[in-house]
Amino acid sequence: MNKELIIIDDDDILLVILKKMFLKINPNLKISTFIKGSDALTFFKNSTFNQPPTILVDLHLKDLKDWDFLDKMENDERFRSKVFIITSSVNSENPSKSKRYKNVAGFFEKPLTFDIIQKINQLIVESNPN
Amino acid sequence: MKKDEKPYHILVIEDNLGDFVILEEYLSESILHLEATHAENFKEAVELLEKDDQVYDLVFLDLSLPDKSGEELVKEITSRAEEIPVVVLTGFADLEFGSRSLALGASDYLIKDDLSPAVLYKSLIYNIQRVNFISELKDSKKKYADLFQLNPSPILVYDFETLKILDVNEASVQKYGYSREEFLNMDLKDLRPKEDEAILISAVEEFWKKNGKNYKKISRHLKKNGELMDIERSPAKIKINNKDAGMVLINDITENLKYIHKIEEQNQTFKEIAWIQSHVVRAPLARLMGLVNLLESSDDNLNEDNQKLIEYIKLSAEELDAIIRDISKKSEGIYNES
Repeated sequence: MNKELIIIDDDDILLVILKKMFLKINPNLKISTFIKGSDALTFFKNSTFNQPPTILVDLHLKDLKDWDFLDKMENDERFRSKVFIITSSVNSENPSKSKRYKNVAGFFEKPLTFDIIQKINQLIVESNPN
Repeated sequence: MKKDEKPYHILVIEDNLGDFVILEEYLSESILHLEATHAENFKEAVELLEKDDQVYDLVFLDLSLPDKSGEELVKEITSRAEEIPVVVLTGFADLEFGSRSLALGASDYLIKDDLSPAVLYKSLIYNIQRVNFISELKDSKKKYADLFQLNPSPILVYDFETLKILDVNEASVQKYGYSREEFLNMDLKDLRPKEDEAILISAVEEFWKKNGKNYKKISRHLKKNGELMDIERSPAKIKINNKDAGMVLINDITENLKYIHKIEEQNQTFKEIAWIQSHVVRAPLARLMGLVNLLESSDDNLNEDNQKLIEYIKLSAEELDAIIRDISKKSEGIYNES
């Protein structure tokens, strides 16, 4: 079964870049991208997954500010995905706040280098269905 | 008895030479250094009193002189003997007038037939001290009046019950634009904008209920020209004619507050710039760096020149990134302080 990755970022060019980078590392990944956080939430509600997809989400979405996306996901019991936060901001207080959310597995400042993409891919591949 | 060693200079206004000699003799029994100047009539006395270089400790005044006597004489002499005690000498016949002379400005009166060294000396010492004491009292009264009147901050005194203004100093007149007379026909409510009246009532009550030490409040006062001031009030409780009164020191902080607001506004703008810097500016840069990453790993074989160009783009982007991080770090410091 191909592993699934969902990328949410309101920068459409960045979505293209990230998708290309991930596929270069792992051509077998099934990647969905969303510009709007609300669209991603709807997608989650209406889909069934064999195993929870990994999520890469930008902190500053236009429709869901700051931690709204994570707050909304936390309330959903079915939500067991690993979440990686990506941000273009260099505000150092953000990483510590992300530790409050048990699903958050990592916090990265943009741009993501191939090294980081490689690391994230490793975690996706190693994750077991549960 | 040991003699008083302090030097005294007295003026004796007395037409009877014999009486003058007795008086001088009596006093000399108690006083070691006595200088007694003799004026035989009113005219001479006036001349002596108006000489600037002569300072007398005390004046003895006989009530009947050839050129002036009685009430008029006492008035004329006491008005000229400013801050010098005047002791009236009178005979039995004028006993009643003696006591009346006190109302005219004399310090004391002695009956000539009762004079003795002890009585004279006691009267001299007592009246000199009394005048000293009175002038000290006057000085200190003036000092305190000046503290109020010449204080650079406006001070208002008001009746606790009616809130009527009882007194204001010069600085209040300057600050508010009302004359003293206008102030005295106003109460505290007239200094507040209408909508602040309730605040005033509760503030006054609060202050009087608490034993308001270090009580300081900020409120708004109106000037006569309608201008609103932000003020800081420091009130104190005092008694005026046995009634509770409040004395409020006013500090005009309008300019200070304006200044603070301006700084706050600028600070807000600055925070917005810092946010844009940290989030918005960096987003396209991150994108740019991501694109360079992709180009570098492209499967197409780039020639050496183009590889070099990509390297340069990468270096420039990294340099810009370092600058943005530097600015963000600096603005974070200000964020945390505020």
